[in-house]
Amino acid sequence: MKKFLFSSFFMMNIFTLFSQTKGIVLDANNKPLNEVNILFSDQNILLFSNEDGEFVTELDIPNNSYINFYKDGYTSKTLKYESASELKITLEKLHVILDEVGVIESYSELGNSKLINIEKKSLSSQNSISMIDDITEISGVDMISSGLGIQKVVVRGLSGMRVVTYLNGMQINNQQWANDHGIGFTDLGLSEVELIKGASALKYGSEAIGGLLYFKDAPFIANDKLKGFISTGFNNSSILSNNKFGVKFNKKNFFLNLYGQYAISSDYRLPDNTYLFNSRFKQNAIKFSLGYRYNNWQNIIRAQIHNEFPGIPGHVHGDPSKVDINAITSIELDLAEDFSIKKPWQVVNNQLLIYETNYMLNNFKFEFYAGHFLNNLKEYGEKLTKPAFDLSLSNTLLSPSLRYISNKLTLQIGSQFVFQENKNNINDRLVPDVSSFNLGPYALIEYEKNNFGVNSGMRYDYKRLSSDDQVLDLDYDNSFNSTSFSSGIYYRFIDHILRMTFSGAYRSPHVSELFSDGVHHGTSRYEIGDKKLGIEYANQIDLKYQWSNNHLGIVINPFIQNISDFISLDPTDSIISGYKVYNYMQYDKVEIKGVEMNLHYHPHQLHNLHFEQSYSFLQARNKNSKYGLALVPANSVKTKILYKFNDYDRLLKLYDISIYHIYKFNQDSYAEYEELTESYNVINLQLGIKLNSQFHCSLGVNNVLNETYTPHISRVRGIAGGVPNPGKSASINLKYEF
Amino acid sequence: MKKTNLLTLAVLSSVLVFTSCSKDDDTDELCAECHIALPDKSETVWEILDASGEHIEFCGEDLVDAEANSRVVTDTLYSDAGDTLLPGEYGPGSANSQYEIHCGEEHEDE
Repeated sequence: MKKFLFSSFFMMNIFTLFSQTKGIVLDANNKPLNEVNILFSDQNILLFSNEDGEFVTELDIPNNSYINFYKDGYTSKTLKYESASELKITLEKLHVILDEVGVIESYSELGNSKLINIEKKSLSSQNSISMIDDITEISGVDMISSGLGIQKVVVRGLSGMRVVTYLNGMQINNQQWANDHGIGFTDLGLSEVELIKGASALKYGSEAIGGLLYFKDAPFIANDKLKGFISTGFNNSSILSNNKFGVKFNKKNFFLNLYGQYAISSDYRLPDNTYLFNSRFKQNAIKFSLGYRYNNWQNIIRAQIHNEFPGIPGHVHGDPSKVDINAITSIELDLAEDFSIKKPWQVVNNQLLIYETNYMLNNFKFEFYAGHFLNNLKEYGEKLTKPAFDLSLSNTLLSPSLRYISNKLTLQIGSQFVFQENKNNINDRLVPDVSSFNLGPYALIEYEKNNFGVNSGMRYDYKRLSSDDQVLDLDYDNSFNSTSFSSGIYYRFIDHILRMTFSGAYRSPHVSELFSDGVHHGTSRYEIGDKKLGIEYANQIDLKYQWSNNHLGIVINPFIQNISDFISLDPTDSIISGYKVYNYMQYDKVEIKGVEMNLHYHPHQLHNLHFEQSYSFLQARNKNSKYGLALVPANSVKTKILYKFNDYDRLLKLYDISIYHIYKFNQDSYAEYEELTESYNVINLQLGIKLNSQFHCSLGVNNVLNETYTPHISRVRGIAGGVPNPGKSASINLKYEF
Repeated sequence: MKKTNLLTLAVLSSVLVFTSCSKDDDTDELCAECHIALPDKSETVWEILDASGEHIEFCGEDLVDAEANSRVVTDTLYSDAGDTLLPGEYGPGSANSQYEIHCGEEHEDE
């Protein structure tokens, strides 16, 4: 029997070893389309069609592998590969880009985008101010920031531990509980981010009550020639210089992507031409992905090192609202001095290693992720040579899963094992030494037939948290467990698409919420935890309606989320060591509801003109208090007018021009220690120039009106009446591809 | 061959990026002036000066030692606001261990 099985396996591999996959991509008039991206999603490999619309690869592609075809300006298509079927794909001209369902089909790491409300954002824009700035173009997404050095994503008013971040399958834990701890990596080598808003991301943990961000590397490229790029960016507000390179290499079954980055910035300039002291930062990163395919078996190793040195601006003692803004700003930049680190600042070292493998056989796909992420965070406060705290956070994730696909049914089972150790390297500490273990088995089922689909999933999580900290004389051992679920339904009627998701999740309290006791220089607070805090539960209903024709598209997405035992950090009247004391506590019930809308209009007479508008309306109510919740972003209207010159680029070298306008309403719902924030307008201009097929240039002017504004959720909103965001600035980005 | 050279160049560049930036956390290269600070984190500080009244610049290990150890004050010191600090030993391990020695400039109102 063993011999028979071995022989079958061997013969199967022989057959597939010499297979060849080829196909053709055409437009609606049966004309070949060149430079169509053909992404073998399960293999993470990218091909391009040639001038005859043809593509060919020697790689053996297992049946039921997902293939995604996309080209700018055309509909995209996703199909399951069948070796017996002819790969002849037709892509139609597309004017209105709204969503993945129907108009744009694409493969999503986070699940079936027809059944789950998944939003995507490309991270390959040339015009980018920063990766997080790009992501905030999605409706319902904002950021907590103090300049470009420290930026954090906020989804539907929730942030910190409630927004879970994954990078290529590995959960990124980098002390994200604090607002002064950034996202932990850069956009280097990334192609796209996927986002689930609210508690529907079962596969990736129960704790994503606010949302889940999944960042994906650019795929490998199947090409005999070495591909790569060199890019540089400059912004005159903070004399920012951002330099990157990347190369992609493929030889038979061996794939390599390699990237490097170095960025340095001084303090950013305010609208009144002063500079926010210590908003400077430096960062460098190097990463590679190494892929090897053997028949149906795929192996990828990814490694990344990222070092960051952000200053902490707006650092004050005592009541920050009473500080004179002149105490935290400079009237000019001294280029010899103002790139160097000054107190207080952080030193962040992140090291990431991921091994992922998958094997496909008939209707089954087995996947396994093993990831290890090391985060060392030193925060220097009063002393230059001795950090106020020095924490090493080690995360290990093991995640096996098995997927079964038939024509209409998809089943997936899997589990996550997460081992985490948070260790202080010095005696001074804000949080204790803690270790935790999390086990999370899950099962998902999807059924699709014609224009109808339904999915359901369940996950059980067990988390054990223990601490034996001799310095703090703490002996703690506790476990948390609960069940989370998500169910969705999808129906399409002609051009109308309706989708509804009901989900429930929970979040056990974080170590910082349980045990904090000390000065946190990054937030200028004395923070005290409460070890009696319990689990936070959330339920969300998310409804999404979409309609589109060739020239107009509309999305309406109302939602409501109830969170019970909501953990919050609230101020007291006490002062310890010169800092205001904040206590962690729990509110019985918090309700977050709102509506997000998108409009995309494309006039028939001007095919190159696109008008896109998104609306985010959010209301967060704390049912235990007359005050609102802290750090809830103001309602907003975001408008983008884009004109693509691609029909004329030979003449003018111009590629596109865009105007981006953000209007933020007053925020009059705020926490007890916050204040009302006035409305404001910000306008950014971008001009893309394509000098030739290899050399691209982007020119930008940000905050064209030099508006003085401080977002309600800015890290420096409460200091000196609100430290404004950067004033008018100009940027230039150059990229050479080979 | 040309492409291989490019790849090699890219790898070498990335190594250079790291070797050139990894010194930022190295206190060996840091130099700074120091002061004695009040334990209540108010802005009152007494500068550490040499016999001629000039600031002393501490570098590398001396800087680490300055912040980690106590400081003996032989003459009465005066802060900018006129607060006095009597002669004695101040800082970690001394009878006045609630005082701290801080180095590096604070941002000043300009």
